[in-house]
Amino acid sequence: MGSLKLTAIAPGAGIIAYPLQYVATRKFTKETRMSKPAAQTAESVTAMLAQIGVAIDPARAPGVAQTMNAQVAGANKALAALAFETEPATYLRVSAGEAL
Amino acid sequence: MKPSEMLELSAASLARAIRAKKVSCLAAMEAVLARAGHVQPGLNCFVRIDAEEALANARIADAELARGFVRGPLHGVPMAHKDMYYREGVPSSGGSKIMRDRPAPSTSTALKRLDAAGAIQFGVLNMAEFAYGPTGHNYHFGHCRNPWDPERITGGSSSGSGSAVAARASFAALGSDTGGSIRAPATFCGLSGIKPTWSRVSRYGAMPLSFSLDTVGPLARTVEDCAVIMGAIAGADPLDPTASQLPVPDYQSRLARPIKGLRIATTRSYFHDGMDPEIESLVCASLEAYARLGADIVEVDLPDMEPWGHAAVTIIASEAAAAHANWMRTRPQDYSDQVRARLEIGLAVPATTYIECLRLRGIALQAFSAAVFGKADILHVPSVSFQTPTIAETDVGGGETMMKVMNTITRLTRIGNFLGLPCLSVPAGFAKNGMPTAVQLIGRQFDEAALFTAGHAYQQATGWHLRSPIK
Repeated sequence: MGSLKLTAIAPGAGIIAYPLQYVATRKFTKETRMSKPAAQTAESVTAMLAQIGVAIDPARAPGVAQTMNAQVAGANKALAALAFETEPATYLRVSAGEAL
Repeated sequence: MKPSEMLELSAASLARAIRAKKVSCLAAMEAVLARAGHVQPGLNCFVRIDAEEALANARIADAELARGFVRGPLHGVPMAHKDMYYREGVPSSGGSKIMRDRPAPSTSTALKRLDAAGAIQFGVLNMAEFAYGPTGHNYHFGHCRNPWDPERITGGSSSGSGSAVAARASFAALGSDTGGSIRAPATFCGLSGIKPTWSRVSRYGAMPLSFSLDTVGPLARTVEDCAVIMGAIAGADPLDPTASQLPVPDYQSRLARPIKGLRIATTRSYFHDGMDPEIESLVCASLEAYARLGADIVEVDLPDMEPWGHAAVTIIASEAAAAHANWMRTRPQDYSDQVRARLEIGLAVPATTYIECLRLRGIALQAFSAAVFGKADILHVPSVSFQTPTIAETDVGGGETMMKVMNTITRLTRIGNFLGLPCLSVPAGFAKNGMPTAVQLIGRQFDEAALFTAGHAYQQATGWHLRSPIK
């Protein structure tokens, strides 16, 4: 298995080979998530709001994208640690438990 | 009793005086209406005063009392409320241009219960537009001003509630708290205010902002008043399926419990980051007062709460944006720049991020409860970490510094909303510039009674809450 290679062609970069084992075992860690660049841009925010019928002043769109990205990045450290099974109702269960 | 003496009474003291027939309901109403008319030009705390109807209701309350009928613990007490509690057929502006002329479809449960307790509503109070602003600015109705210094903010969003009650122009008032909207004005105006456990008080007929975090509660002169009002408004409500079914304890009878042996936690992390030294010394003095009263002071280490604060902002933004999406499509020009800009941010939050933030709440509550309530009964922390800013300093509109200002003001309060825990803000002294500050006591889920006991004991020992801005 260790000798299997996944080969990809990157434009202008020749042939790059990745060890499949490395790709398969690479974990999606807290660090990788935190370093993920923020998703929204002025253009994407404008398009997203247009899709739901809300017009945004183009001058404000960069600020909206920047603020939203900062907000999400601020929460990311904790969100990355959420267990798969955690759902919003977990809060209600914990809350009711605390009250007993 | 002179009107000026009457107006210095707490709501509970006035109710006792009315029941003892030392004061008539009509005299109390006339006194408060005169004070309201006197302070309104300078403070802009009222949106509307319904004098004639209030006077008529006060006469009815006096007649009932003469027949030996007492409606409840607030019989004849004049109160005005944040203009977001619906009364059928009457407009509730929500501090907005959009709702200002729209008759409310039904009466809120909180108002119905205050009516049943005997309180008499005589007006509605200024507030942040759609309860979405922590400073007290309102670009439609005019900014609300702080009776301790009219150049400084009242805090928001329950700005008029803070200003009017502090100015002795209402004996108490309902506010609402989604990120600190009761505790910020209580702090800046020198009042007691409680953000109850989420779901403790029905939200039926209260204008929504963020359904996962919204709470209904009072601002008042004393912790005892908060206990009396909470006793009247808390409890299950078939009209609000999210309202808890847990029985409501008799808060007032538990006020005088001894606090010797009560475990009060303090912490050096998060809540004390970057604190103004003068505010910090007042907060420390408050903790020392608790130690002198016999409480056991314990130090706790808290989890990293910075991400929780961001998650709270994300939840509020997303839910507020969803509630306002229709008006954002059809009437965007009728919002102030600030609220419109904040709603746009909420509309841009991905659904997955919003849900992740909701998923975080249970984990956060578990971690916080283990850290604090494993060792103590109450956490004692500041309500805000800075001196009261001026209206001009915080007049940021929808500009670049908007979110920084908003998030700084609510940094220490919105954690309580995110966790859903009860938080009582209690006056804890005055800065050299004459402005009040406060501590917040955070308790276990549905244990408002412990907070009232601790807050009341502190007020019996200190007297900060008795100071009045009215000379």
